[in-house]
Amino acid sequence: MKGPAQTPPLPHSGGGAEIRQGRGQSTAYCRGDWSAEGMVELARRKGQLGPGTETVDLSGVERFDSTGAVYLTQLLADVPGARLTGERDEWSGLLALVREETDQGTLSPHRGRHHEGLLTWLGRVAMGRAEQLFDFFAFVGETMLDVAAHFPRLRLRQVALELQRAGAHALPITGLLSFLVGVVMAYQGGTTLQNYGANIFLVDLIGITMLREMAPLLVAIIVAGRTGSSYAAELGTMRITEELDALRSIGVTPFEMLVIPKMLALVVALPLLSVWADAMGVLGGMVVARGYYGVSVTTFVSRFPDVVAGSQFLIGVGKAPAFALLIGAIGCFQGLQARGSAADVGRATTWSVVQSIFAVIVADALFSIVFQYVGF
Amino acid sequence: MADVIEARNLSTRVGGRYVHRGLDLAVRERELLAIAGSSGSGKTVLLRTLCLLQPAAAGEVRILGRPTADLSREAGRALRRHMGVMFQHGALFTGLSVLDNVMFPLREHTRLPRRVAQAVAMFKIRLVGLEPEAAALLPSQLSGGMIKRAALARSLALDPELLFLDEPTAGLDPVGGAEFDALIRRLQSLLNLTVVVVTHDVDSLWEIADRVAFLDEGRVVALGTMEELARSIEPSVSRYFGGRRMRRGRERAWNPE
Repeated sequence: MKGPAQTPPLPHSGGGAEIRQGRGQSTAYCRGDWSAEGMVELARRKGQLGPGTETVDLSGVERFDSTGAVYLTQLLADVPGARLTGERDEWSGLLALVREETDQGTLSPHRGRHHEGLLTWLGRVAMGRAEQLFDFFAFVGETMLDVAAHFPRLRLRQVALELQRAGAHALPITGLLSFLVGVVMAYQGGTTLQNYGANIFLVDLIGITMLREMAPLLVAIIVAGRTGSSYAAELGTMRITEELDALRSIGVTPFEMLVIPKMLALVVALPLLSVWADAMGVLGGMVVARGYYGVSVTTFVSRFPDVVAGSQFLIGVGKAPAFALLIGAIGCFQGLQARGSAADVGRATTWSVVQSIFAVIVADALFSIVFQYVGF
Repeated sequence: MADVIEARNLSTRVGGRYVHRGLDLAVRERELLAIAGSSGSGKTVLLRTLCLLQPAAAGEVRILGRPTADLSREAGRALRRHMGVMFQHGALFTGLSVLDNVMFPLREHTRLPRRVAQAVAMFKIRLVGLEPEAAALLPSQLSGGMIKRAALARSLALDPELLFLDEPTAGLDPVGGAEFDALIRRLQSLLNLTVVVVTHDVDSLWEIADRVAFLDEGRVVALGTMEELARSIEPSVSRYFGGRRMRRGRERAWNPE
């Protein structure tokens, strides 16, 4: 039987690396642990050899690895004439190799990225953006070509699947949020209207803002964060795992298999979600109007068709497909832009959300101007 | 020589299925032990268990003489500092350059000044035979052979005593594979390494292994030099090494010209 289990210490001799050298002495004695672990203190203190060093004695060194060898070689560069003694045979190969590499200057890496001036940076960023814009046009073009080529045989299964993920699964969150927005708007608007005894105008306020602006915008922003980002992540991952190349090699373009079904699903889902958000938002407003401002449900419902024209609803829902195209295109495009690394997928996802929300709001503003101009 | 890795009565389980049952294996200091066996015999699982990436279901693994069951976080970290692992597909961090990949363990485990850590990392990059220019490249810009070398450099970053290699020559052409074998041998003697290597590569087995452990049905059925294994009467071993592909490898090893 063996005695109680012993735990031998890991190979790391207690004391760190040291250099002992009296002032003006020609011999420096190296001692202790000259390994990556033991070197830390000495290296941080910037331990050095004295200027007149002729001999470096390694006989006190208990452990020596390439970190020790690299540091020793860096030290020896300051005292070119110095000689090594007391090194163990098992280290000599390593030491010789480190000295050889140091002599060739290969151990000091040329910094990969040079410091660039403001103008260079500006130029690089601007060119990058311009390039991305061109890439985006190319993406839109390729998608259009594939739509034209494959229109007769759409992948309905894919479309249905995407429709479920982007549409049906988004119902709870879009419903809840638009209900809450309806509540908030009624509450804020009601306080002001009450001062004039004009509580009844809550119906107009809720109806028009919800149907025309809030619901489609809210849904677009939620979908951009929820679905646009997932498109970017999915396509980006497929790109770096070469799944997209596998598709191409089979003769299927990623556009017909992935991009078009996703965009089509969004174009269908977003108007529907927008109608759902209209209903939930108005419901939220109605609850507050009844509870706090004495507008009964009957009054609300009977006034609603009189003051909210059908065109308001159509304008709101009509904007949704445009938002859907923007969100789908940007999400897929950013995904396809991912190159090589896991971090790139993260970047693509972030950019898809930022850019699609930006694009949706800009588009909404443009719609407002255009509708104003044509007099709706 | 002392045993630096010991597995006693080791059992491992993956997904509820036993891969090894009652396996015993000891790796001697400064030897190059190859783990061989047919596909599905649990070579990689054994390697992952030995390098503490996967807990044993039963039995114990001792690394550098210390038990590894229920290690505290700090003890585990201290022990891992003495072990380098090179994964089959390299597993380089895709967002970091080769230099940053190699520097990563150095910066995690030591507080060496950047200048020193960088020089050590550059030395490792040179040591595995990469050009200095490769240091600034990203993993996506490397060829298959360069990825293997960069991964080897990262596993050597802290000058570990133990080096674990998972299929180091898989996916390399014969010339590249032979070069990589020579590199492993050279590094082993230069850095006084104990190496555990999982390989399918016949030529590698003959070329680099001091001893070969042959796995079958969850245990080591044969352990010895390639010459001994090639003469083994154990059915699974002789079937494996008696095959035509293996014989050709042996002839080549005996008659290098």
